[in-house]
Amino acid sequence: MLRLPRLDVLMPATLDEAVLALQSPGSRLIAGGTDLLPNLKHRLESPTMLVSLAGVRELSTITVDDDAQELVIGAGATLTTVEQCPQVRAHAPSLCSAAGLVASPLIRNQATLGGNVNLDTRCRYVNQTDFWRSAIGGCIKSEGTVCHVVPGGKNCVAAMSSDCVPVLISLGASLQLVGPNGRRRVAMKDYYVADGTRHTTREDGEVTTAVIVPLVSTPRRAGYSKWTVRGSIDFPLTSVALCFDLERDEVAAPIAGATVVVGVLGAKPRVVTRLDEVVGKSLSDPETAAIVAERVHRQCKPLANVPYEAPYRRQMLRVHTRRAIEALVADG
Amino acid sequence: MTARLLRFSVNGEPVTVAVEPQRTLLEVLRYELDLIGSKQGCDKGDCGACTVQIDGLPRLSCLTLALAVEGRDIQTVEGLGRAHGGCHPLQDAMDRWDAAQCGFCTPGILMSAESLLRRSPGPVTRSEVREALAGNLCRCTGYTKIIDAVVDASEQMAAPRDETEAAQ
Amino acid sequence: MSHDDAGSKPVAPSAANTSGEPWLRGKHHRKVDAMARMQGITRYTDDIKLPGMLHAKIKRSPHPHAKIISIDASRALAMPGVYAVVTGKDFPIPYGIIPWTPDETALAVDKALYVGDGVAAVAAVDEDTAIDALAAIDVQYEVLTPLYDPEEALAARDNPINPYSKKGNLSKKVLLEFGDVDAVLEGAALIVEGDYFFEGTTHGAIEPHCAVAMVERVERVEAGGDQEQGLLTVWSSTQVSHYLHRELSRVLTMPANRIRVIQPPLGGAFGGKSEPFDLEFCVAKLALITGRPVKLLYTREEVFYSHRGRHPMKMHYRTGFTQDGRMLGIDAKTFIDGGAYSSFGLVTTYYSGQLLCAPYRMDAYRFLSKRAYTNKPACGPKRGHGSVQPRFAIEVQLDKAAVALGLDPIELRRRNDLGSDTRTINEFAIGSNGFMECLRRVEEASEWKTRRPTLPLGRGLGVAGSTYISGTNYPIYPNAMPQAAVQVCLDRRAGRACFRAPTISAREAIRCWRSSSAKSSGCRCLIFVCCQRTRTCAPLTWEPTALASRSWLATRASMPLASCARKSARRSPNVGRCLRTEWP
Repeated sequence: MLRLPRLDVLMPATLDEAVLALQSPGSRLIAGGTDLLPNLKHRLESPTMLVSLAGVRELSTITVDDDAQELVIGAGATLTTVEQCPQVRAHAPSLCSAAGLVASPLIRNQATLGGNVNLDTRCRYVNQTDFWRSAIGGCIKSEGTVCHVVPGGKNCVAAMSSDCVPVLISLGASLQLVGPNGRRRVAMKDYYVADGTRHTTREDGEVTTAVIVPLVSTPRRAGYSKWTVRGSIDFPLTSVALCFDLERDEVAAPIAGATVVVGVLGAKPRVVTRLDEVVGKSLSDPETAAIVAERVHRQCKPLANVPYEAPYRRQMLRVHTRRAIEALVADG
Repeated sequence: MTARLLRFSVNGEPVTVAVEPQRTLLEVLRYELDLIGSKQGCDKGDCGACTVQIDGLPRLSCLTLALAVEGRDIQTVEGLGRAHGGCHPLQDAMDRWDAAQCGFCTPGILMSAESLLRRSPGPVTRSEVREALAGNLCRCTGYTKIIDAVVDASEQMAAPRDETEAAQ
Repeated sequence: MSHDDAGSKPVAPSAANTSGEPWLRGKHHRKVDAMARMQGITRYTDDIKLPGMLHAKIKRSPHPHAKIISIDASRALAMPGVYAVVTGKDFPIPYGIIPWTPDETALAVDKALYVGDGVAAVAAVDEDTAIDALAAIDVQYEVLTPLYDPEEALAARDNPINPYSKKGNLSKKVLLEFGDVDAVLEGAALIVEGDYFFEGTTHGAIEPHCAVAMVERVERVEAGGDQEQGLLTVWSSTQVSHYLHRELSRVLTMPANRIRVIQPPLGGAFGGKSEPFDLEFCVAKLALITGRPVKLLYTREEVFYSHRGRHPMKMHYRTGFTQDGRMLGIDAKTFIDGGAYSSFGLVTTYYSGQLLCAPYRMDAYRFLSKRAYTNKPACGPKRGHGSVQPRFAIEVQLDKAAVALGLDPIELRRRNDLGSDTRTINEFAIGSNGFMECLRRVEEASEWKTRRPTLPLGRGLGVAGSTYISGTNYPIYPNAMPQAAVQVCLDRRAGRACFRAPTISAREAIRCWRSSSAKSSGCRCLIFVCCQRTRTCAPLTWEPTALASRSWLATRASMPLASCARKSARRSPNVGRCLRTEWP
């Protein structure tokens, strides 16, 4: 079998206990464990103690804060819960779509939203057993010093592969973190950095406690498109989140603003720029889809860090962006 | 690491077992409790052969720390037929439909399917079955007969039957 | 057609014949052992636990091609809980599933031939200790140039990969010609020529390979004070217990009658478990050394390293047609990427050409296939062994011909139907042939004529014909050996039993036999799936059978023992008559 390394497991009952436990050296947070345990079995990390959030009930609630006009999703909510939650469906339907497209139902019953936004970056040269990696001498992210994706590269370009992150950035979401120095809030667009070895600004010892999505009263259409070879289980090969604010609540209405976020490029999701051209056009105008797809294709260059050839994935990015917009139009 | 005592319930029976902290639930079920129905196929969340139900929801026991199920209710395929005279309607339907060839993925599929049927008030559709089984890989049988069998079982269980109260 | 179409939904058999109900010909029956598998009762190989059992792990080469300079296991052996370490030097005798090509050793002796090739194995008190011990085995390598491409490997004569290779990196070459290909192609109205590449696939059985070995000491002093090794039992998730038995005896230099191989129920195989692997030799040897039972379970990654999947093939095909679409002849050249060992490669090399000659008629056919050693996991047999890759090439050529000649692809295939009660160009006997009926039904069910012209760009309907053989011996190379084996023992006593080896194929055969034989009554019979030598397939199951009489059971794995086998041999090879032999 693929064995886990020898380690201790702590099961705190409260967030405070968890934060305290994380201060001991060698400790590592575990939530659903669907990403961490394979990584540990592959010896990508070597913690001496896992601090499990399985017993911390306070992190699983989903509430609408009417005063602050925010949807507050506890980081411990499973992706199945997020996908099926009526409040999330009402206020952030594209997040439901993304959560429901993660891996398989079995993974989603276990994986948490907090874990998903902190999902480690992935690369075909990294997410392998330690034996496999030893055959290529490791890489920047594992035991080596070189990059096999970008020859000569000094920076790790492992891919941000979360399905929920592009959507949450497109919705202007932020994260609540609690650490030994107290509580802080960070906008998700600022949370990720272009370094595959450490791609978030989360400090050691900090726990993500909630994902906060601002409520909007204006009309909006938002969607998420994920391309994989199989219909389930796989990580995305391309991922695009789209969010269009409209002047009226119909797809023929003029677009007031557009946000498009693309994942599975490097370690940081890319917010597509220069979308001003579609403002004023309608979503149902085929030119809108063509313009957005063209911007995505121009600005996003997938790397050979996940399966399938990068140039092909770049073409698919254009296709799936266009289709995602067509799907929004078809939904009305 | 020092072994610790873990208490949980398996198929309705309380068990206490000493486990090292790094053990997965699958390892404890298969090698400590000899509940060999749950299988190890990939050991990292791809194949679904290790699917068990934790508090009624199908989950991957190869990606669950054993210590994290303290006090929880675990259902494995060994307990599936208990309320049905040893053979759950799903098992009967899969047998009739030839939906288990080598039978290695089947326990995991049964645990996913049972969860679906329990949550559905009436007969299920093929697309619901496909979605519910999207985390369980089968290599020999092919999915068509498996889906046929699950739909059939849901119809059997939904149909009023005089002689048995077994259908939920 | 959509499976959601209620009209097309097949009807489930309703009969529950789990106990006592007669098996009737033509009636749908439940599998003989599926319910136990579904209830989680069936004990697969990894479910075997023996008292005092040790766990083994194999240390594998991280280099694709390297000379082994030294292996130092002293640090590992000094670790608490480590019982034994074996290396290639402990098993120097080469073996191979094909008796003519023994070119593999249980662990690499002097050279590692691919990333993942086993170099040492350790038995320890538990798996974690075994993993730690692997890291403490020091192996010094001298890295050699790896070769990955079959054509490059064949050209690199001064860098032979496999130490047992006789001709550089050529694993096997076959050139066979039937009819005058050059003349036939010369007169063709249309020649379709092209290159095709099949990338290779693996089996993907959900159950990883596993083996357990146990030694029972016997109090027996042999003449001359020969070392007594005891009685060895190996449980393995193998498809070929008898071959494993043979090779264990050879490699361990133990008499066959002191070895027993038991095959527990399998969690899928598809050809991927059809030869001996390093794990079986390692657990056997480690059990003999330690006196304790030893288990080794592959990780999914090790399953991929052991591989034996479908061969990558580079195929160059030239096919000639008449103006009206009749296929005249094929000239095929194929490079086969074999990986590090022969495995079933000799057979694959023949099959890459021999299996192409049905279901289409042709006047002439030539194929030249070369299998090369490369520094990759060895390829072997996978469902439809050897026939899938050339089928891909020829069916594409037929489609190209259809376009060039302005013919419908189904019509083109009809015009080339081989017919029944005939012989293929390479002398395979064809009995009945349902290909035309098959084409008709496919054409109807797919709504070929109405749907095909209306599909948008990027969507299509395609058709391909194929065939496979019953009896695998003749197609390897023409020969007069028996092709099938049957042993039937009639038992006129009250008791009746079926003695079987619980392979998946044998299970299906039994099922088939039960339903085909059930209509008559009278004497009962005892059926053996006969196996080579003694003790190979121990009677795991004595299965009561009902109303069995004139019965047969054939398995490709069996040795020919009964006269009926010789009779059946004369009938073979028999395309389209799989397991259907008329009984006197």
